[in-house]
Amino acid sequence: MVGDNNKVIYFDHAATTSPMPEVVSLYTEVATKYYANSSSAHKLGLDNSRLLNKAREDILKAFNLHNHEVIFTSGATEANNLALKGYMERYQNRGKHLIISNIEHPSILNTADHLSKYGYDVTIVPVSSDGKVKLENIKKAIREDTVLISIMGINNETGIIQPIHEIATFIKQFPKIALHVDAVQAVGKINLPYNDIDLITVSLHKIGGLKGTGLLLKKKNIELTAMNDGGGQEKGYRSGTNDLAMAMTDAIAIKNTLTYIEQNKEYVASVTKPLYDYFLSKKDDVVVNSTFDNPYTINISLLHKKASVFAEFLSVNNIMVSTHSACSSKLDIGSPTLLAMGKNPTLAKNSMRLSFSITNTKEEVARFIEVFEYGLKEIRG
Amino acid sequence: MINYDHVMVRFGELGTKGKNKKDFIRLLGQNIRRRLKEYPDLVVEVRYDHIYVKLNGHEAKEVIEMLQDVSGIQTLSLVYRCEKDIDVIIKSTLELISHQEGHTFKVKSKRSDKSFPLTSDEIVRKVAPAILKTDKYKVDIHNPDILASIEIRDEGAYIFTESFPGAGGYPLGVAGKGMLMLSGGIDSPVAAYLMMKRGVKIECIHFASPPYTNEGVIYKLEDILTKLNVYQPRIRLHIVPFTKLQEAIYDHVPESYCITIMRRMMYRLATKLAYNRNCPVIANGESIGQVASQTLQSMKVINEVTDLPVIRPLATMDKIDIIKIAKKIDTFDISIRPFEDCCTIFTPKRPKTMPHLDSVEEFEKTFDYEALIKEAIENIEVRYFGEE
Repeated sequence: MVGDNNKVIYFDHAATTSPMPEVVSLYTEVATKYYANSSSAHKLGLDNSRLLNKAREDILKAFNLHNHEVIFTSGATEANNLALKGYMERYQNRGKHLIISNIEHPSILNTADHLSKYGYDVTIVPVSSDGKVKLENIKKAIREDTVLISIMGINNETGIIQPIHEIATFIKQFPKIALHVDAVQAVGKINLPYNDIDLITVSLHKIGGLKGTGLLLKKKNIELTAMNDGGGQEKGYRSGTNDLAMAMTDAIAIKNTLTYIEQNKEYVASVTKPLYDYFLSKKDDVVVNSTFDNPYTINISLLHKKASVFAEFLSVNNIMVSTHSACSSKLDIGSPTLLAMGKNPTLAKNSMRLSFSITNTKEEVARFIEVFEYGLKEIRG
Repeated sequence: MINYDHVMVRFGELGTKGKNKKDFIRLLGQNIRRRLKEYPDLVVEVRYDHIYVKLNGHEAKEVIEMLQDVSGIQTLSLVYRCEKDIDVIIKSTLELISHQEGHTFKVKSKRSDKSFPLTSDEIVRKVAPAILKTDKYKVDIHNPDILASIEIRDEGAYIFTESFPGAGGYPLGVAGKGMLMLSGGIDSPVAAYLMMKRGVKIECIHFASPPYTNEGVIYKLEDILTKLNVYQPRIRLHIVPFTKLQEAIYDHVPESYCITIMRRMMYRLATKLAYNRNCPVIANGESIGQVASQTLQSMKVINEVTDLPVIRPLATMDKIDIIKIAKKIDTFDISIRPFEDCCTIFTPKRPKTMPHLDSVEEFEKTFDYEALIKEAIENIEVRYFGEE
């Protein structure tokens, strides 16, 4: 332990966040008091059904969506699966071609891979060295039989922002092509043109909500083949008894997050800019892989130290960060996004991700720098 | 449906006699009681030549399985006790063997209650024909499928037909204590198990080098030791802070000798601790020739630092057989979790397979390892696993 610090410093918000206190207390209250099945026909069920619909409305209102509906799922992974598989299967008579980028989350990459084994064609558009998808490359990939394009809003590893506005505007001229955006890392951080996006995946545990819940926001005029068949909940798109308490906490987390996008971003930028500048100043030890237009994530590669060792050192000092460097040589494949950006494989294997929220402070950053300096000096590499 | 009364435990390697035998039996009885602790309805009776576990209605096969974990046991038999009446004995024997597989049989008999009207021979000559009369079995006195043993004792007639192999080995504790180097890999838990089976109660020593090694290794050890608690109910783990030694070696020793000298430091630490804890031997999971540090020449150079015997139960075993045991004792899946106990920073690309002792001694002179060893010993963290 470097110096004296018992307080946990959590710089891994891209992995998950701690739930807002009002979220947890609301969950307990609703789960206890409003326990009836919202599909039941009796008074208790009907009351709950009303509350459930109110939660949907609140969510749509917070996103300022006029033509969408909410599908509650068990998380973003399920929502991504439903979006891709559900859409491709439903509209296969129009075409069987899907376009995604090469830096999507595994729940998109692996779902696309699954689809490619079941008779669908997938084109994986590579990002450029700046980590962004180029509209040119999407244009080139579009075919007669393209029906769906899926691009994430913000990359989870690097924090790099994708040109969703550009893409959404561009696709308007292709009525046959729908756009899906995995907005998991983007919600609350940047403004996306939600009304122009056909399918939007949202994850709650990334924005102070609970784990085990996610949303697929779908334009009303789009249909999907259900992945979960059953009692017909969520208009048949996703059967399973609704968790009213979860839905209501989803609404709270979203409302709180989307209301304060600008203020939150300003605050986080004030906290992380010094850290970003610090890393830039350590040219002999650190390469910075991310850019500051997203102050919520800083991705660096260590030039002379093993990132997994450094991360363990930070963890021992109560600072939590994320790394793709593995302690075990069996797992040491490196950051897929950095590799996709064409970065040096050694640097890709030695990267660390620091991700922030409004709960972090300047003092935490100062403490981080103190510990980081010590590590640079003392850890063997 | 016949319910077995007892499990009969046969123990001991041939030749254990006198005071040794008494200690052996006493410890075995203790260990059996500990193993069966969860089930107070089972009563352990220690006699001179055998140990009996009274089932009191408990499911027999379950008890056999538990006892097969207790070392020091040769065979286990399911025993049925009945009246000392020849007709009852015949009827019972027929019923017992009907539950067994086999076409050939032999009947044996012993009589310690001399007041019983029939001699052992006469008993056999009454029971065997009754079995033959069922037309299901033939006699084979050399290699029978079913061996029906009938013993007439004071308390009744004991019949046993089914026997199961025990773990073998010696009762835990009868051989003394050993200090085992536990790494969390596949091999050292197997070495631990084999030591326990041979009657050695072990304490474990583990070398941790945070941040070069991950906390995940410690969780692995916890889970491994919990599995080993089946064979040794209480295990003490000494976690030695090895980081400073690791870094000193890295700073002062040429790459190809790093592993050799690292192992020598570990042996020095294990030896010191073994003395402190009254363990006359060290043990570990080394095998001849698997990695560079395990060539015979390496072993010689590494072993040189200790004056204690180093027991290597796996020395001549093939990996595939080691893995078989690891799976049997349920540590394999834990061991293969991807947390390594030695960081790749410290593993040389070309480790010395034939290190020279004088080179090694020269390199060790370049830093004050004695002080680091002393510091490491003073900062050992001790944890316990298993029962109080």
